[in-house]
Amino acid sequence: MAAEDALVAIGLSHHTAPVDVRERLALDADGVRRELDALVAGGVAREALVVSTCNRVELYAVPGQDGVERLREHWSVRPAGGRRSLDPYLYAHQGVDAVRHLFRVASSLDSLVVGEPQILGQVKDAVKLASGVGTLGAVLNRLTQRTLWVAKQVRTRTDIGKSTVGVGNAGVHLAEQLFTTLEGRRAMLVGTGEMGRQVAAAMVHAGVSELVVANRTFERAVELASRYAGTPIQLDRVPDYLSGVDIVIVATGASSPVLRVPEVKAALKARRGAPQFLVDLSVPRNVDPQVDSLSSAFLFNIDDLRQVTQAGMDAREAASQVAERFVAQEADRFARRLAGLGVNEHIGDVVRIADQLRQEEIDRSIRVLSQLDEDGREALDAMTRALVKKLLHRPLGKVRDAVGRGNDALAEAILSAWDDPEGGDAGEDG
Amino acid sequence: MGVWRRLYAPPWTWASDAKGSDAAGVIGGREEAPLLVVGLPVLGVYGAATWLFARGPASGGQDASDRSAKALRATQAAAALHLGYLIGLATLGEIASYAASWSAVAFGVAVAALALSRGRLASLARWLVPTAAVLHGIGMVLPASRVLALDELGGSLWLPVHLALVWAALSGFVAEFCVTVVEQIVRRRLKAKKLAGLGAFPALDALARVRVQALGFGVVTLALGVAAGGMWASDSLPHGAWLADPKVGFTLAVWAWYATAFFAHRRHDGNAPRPLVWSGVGFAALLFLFVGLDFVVSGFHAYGG
Repeated sequence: MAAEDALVAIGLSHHTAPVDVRERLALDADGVRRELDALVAGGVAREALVVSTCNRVELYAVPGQDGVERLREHWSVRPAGGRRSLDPYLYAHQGVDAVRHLFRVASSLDSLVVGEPQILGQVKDAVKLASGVGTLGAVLNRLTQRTLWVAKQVRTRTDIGKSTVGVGNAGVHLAEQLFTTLEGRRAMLVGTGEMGRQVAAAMVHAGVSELVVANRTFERAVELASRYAGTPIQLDRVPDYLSGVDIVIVATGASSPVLRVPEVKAALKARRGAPQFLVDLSVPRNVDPQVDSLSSAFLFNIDDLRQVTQAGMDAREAASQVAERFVAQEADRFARRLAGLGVNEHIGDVVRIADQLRQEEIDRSIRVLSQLDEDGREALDAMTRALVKKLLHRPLGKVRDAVGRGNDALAEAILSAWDDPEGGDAGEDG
Repeated sequence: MGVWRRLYAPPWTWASDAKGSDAAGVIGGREEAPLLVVGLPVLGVYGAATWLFARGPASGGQDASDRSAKALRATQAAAALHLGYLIGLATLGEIASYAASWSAVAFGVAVAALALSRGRLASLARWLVPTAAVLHGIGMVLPASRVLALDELGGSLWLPVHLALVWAALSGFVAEFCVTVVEQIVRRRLKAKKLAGLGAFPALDALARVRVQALGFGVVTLALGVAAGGMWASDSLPHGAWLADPKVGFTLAVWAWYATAFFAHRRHDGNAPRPLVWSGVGFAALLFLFVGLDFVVSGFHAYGG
């Protein structure tokens, strides 16, 4: 009856398993459908949901008659690669812990990059798949609906997804302090270093309309420019293009400045004072720091970008603490509802047992009271029904109250009065 | 002076008014109590909005955005009350008074804050709403001096048009000054690499665009306002008196400054050099026009005589 029995989460994630193990277990949509079907049809689970992404493969299930161990066995028999067993990589949560885990996953609190938005869409897809296969029942239907609500609340009530992490996004974030939108803006990438590529890719993703790529080795400029439908140029032609771009990303391995004050000053004059955003990701720096003294030039270096990413990470950390508290609170609340759901089933079983006993006693009495006519039988039936109802009313009311207050032990104790002395619970007996 | 009247008029005008003098210019012979009843809550609601805006961005998250939404709703409520206050002044009191002029400009600034309340520009309300509160507060405590010549000159339909346009222009220039200050704060923080919390401000290009729009609005409405004033003068004043009025002459000089600034900014797509100098000099001249000139120099339509 307790929530612990009603729900289990078993799986592995980037926290517990290396990528080579995760990729062996990862399932595509058809694989998930087959797995769900096998779990429910084979009686391993009564309800099932599988969330499979590149960072996690998890099963949320209401166990079948054989319980949680059977579910764990079902998963751990898969090979983890070589002779390795999957067991060391698996974790299992039950009851309220399983609820909290799914809430945390969907809210991106368990993600590799906390606050990333993709996971919510992936959980939604998993729910759709399970719903399509028909493996969501009373428990998982309610759980998944609540999960999506909780995840949405976390995103809107906290800044978990708003702050900037990653060098590329930090570049975009800074550029957006100068330009409301990067759509329609032109950018130039000088050098093809990794960080420069990251920032340029983020800029293009944010809407930059044209990317000019300059590099000492022209072939590399051509290769990178072709990826973004940009324009490749030789490094010595940078000053010619400088006035035509709003954003300049410099990331070369040169030991002396590639851009100096006179070139930038000339470009700004041609731009009639329009601001220009310059990011120098090189160490040693490739843009003369004095460029920043020009009123329309806004020059940032790698430390400035780190300042933005650190602030973003701090903000996410603060937001994630708020989110964790909210998720824990909601998980407890849902677990209580789940326990209520379980107790209703048990109460139903008790009522069925009582009615069955009543019916048996009436059948026995009818043989003795054979002179009773139809009206007499109906009166006896109604009287015994009312008697059973009145006898059950108070104890079952106490069970509901106990569950509502979280006192599962008391509810268990009351309901155990109807347990079959031979073993098994009331429901199975009935 | 009755109790209600005392409540509306600032304390330092009570003595002169008690002697029956009209020199202080407190609205004569009409009931002012409703104006106080509306005027103070307007200030209170502006104050509440200012407090909510000030608290908004600090914590971030849903709470901050809830507070900003509440602050905007408070600003809407204040502007609606404020409009009622101005209508009350126009019908029950004296709309062409010195105090009413400050309050009317405050209303224009609040309307500008609401007009800009979308996207990241909404954060400008954090600056415009307190400005409106201060201007309205000044209007509440200033003596309700009125343009002395009005009684003698009689009414003209051009007068309300002139007032509305000039107040709208002044609101535009005040908003432009506020936006310029915010723009300078953003610019300096970017230059100093003080990047924390910058996301709460609009982008530089948006600030430049709004600044030029406010400037253009002020230049056009002030030109129309001066023209409407000329129409009023031709109805009501002796020939040539309008242009001989030092307030008119100085207003035209201020207009010329702002018009030059507007065209300089337009020519550079909002990126003309030294926007704070253009805006600061214009704003200082505006203050002199409104505070200094009105009381120092005599003329046909100065508030001070």
